[in-house]
Amino acid sequence: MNVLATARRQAARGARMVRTALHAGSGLARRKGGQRSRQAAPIDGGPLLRLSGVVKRYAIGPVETEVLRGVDLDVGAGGLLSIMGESGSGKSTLLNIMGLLDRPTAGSIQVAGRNVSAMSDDELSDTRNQSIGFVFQAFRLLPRLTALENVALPLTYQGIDGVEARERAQGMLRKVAMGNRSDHRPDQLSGGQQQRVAIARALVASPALVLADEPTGALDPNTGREIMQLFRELNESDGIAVVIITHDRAVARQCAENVDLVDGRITAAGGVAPASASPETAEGAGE
Amino acid sequence: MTMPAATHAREAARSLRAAGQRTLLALTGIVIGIGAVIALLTVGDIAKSEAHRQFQSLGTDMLSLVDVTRHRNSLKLTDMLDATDVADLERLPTIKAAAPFTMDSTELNLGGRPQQSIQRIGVTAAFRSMYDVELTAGRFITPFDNRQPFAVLGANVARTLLESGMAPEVGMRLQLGEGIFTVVGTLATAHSGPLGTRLDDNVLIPLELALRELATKRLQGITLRTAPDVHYLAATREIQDHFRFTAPDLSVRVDSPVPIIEQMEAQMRLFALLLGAVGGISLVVGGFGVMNAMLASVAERRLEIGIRRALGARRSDVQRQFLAEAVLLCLVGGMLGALLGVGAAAIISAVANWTWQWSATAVVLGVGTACAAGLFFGLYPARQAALLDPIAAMRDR
Repeated sequence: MNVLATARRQAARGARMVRTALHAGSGLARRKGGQRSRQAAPIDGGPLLRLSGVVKRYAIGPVETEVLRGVDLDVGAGGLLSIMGESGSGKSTLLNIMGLLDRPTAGSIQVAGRNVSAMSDDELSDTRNQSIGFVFQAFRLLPRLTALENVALPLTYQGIDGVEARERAQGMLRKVAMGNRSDHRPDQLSGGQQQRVAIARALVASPALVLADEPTGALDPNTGREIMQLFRELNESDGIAVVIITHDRAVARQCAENVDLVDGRITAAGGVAPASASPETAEGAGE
Repeated sequence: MTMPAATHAREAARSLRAAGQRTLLALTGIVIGIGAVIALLTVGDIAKSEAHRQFQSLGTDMLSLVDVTRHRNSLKLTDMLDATDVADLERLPTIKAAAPFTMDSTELNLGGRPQQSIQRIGVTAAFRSMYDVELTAGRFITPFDNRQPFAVLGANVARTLLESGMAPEVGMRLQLGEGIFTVVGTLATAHSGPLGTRLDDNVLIPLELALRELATKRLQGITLRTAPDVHYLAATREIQDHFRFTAPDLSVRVDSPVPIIEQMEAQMRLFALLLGAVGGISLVVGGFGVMNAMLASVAERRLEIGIRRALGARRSDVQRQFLAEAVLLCLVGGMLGALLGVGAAAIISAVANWTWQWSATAVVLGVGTACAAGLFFGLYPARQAALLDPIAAMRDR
């Protein structure tokens, strides 16, 4: 599977990956209370996130629906992966499981070599906080907080407050070209601007992995392309692994690797050009 | 992960400001409950110290001894309680001073106008220090007055005379009943006299004269002051023992304000308890109002909770956030209630003409109770928020 191949290829970039992963863990030192769930760096370039035989079944009344039917998927450190699927293919369920918001019915998930099923709810929360950034289709900014406060939110859950949090959040806003909008509330920002703020929020705690759920879905094609460009830059320059879940082939084409989610199973991408070295050729992003 | 307390407080304040009107309405129960508790506790406090002040002026070391013997032969009465008894009583170790008295009702002649009913109280010089009376003019009854028709006027009597065009000055003559009396002094406004009489409305005359002239012709009672640190019951026992030996036929009743004060205090405690219960009930009602508002807030902010959980908030973080909001809400309610309560108490106190005093205990208790109510009634909604499934919470809307 080309994902695994890519993961192996990326192992060559080992030094940077390990640094990134360690950096993700460094936030832990700030935590109060003493209980820590320090994540180890991927061992020798092992995958950042590994799903093995993940099954998810929902019981709706007497009927049981199997949404995921044995998903095997590796996300290597520093990868840029698209997961494409039609609506109802189980994309959201997969994203929730990858983001440790949901537990699978069967199968295992490993984050940096650590089995997630053994983790407590608090450990899952901490792992989300330090190692995973979320970007949603509908941005999901808190409406009453300013852009800066929204971005700083993950830091406050690490016990980082005040000047340090503000400085880090401001730095992150500058990185997504929103440095001059830090005092704006979400309703004073355009969709593209809101998504940039959301990306800054996903990145502020220096996660190793960003999960994006239809990040361009609510944006016009031009803005969508800009957002995809931002993801690619962050992936390139900071080595942050990015997983983009989409139903839009044009978005998928801009990612280094592509897989399809069909009927609750991962298949090799069909009809997508092999990992594109020139994403500029993509027709457009979003709808 | 632990969010700093200051962040919690800031976020809670922001959320409450945003929640606005509905939240304020939910608070009315708390405000009224706390206000009622504080007002009633303060009023209770003031009323208690007011009552205490009144009795204190009478003196907790005062005993009143009254002859309650039932005789077939009324002539024996004067013999039963006399000056010898007074001297004997004063010699008892538990007694510091004794002031005998007797009284009757008569008419005050105001020169042709309708006569005014008035009480003549026969007293000795000891009466003055016993009842702590002040003079505005002249002198008090002295041991040398014997049976002279001298009179000391109560404050209101002097005023009545003045209003009738008779200047109440020392040396003036006054017709009381059949006798003509010479005014030797006038009293300042005083507290109550023996047997609950109002000294202001009465006239004091020498006891010896009273025993001969008045209709009763006997000592009605003796006001006693106990020696320092003597319990009133010990003094009472000693007095009863004394009379059991010297005058077995005589039966006297010895009264002390102490049991009355104690009874009054017990009533006040019961009063405060009842008021506290009323306040407590409104507080519980208010607490459920807050719980309701918080549940509505949790339901309304499911998406926010989901987002926070996705960003790494632990369940305990979410719980603390909503608890902080509930406590802050109740703290605001408690402080508004304190203002309301103290204001109401001040008005009541002004209307009742009491000496205003601020009860810090009541305010601290009230505001503290409000915070406790916030914690208690906020726990369930906060728990609900914490236990929300983040996926379900984010799926909404």
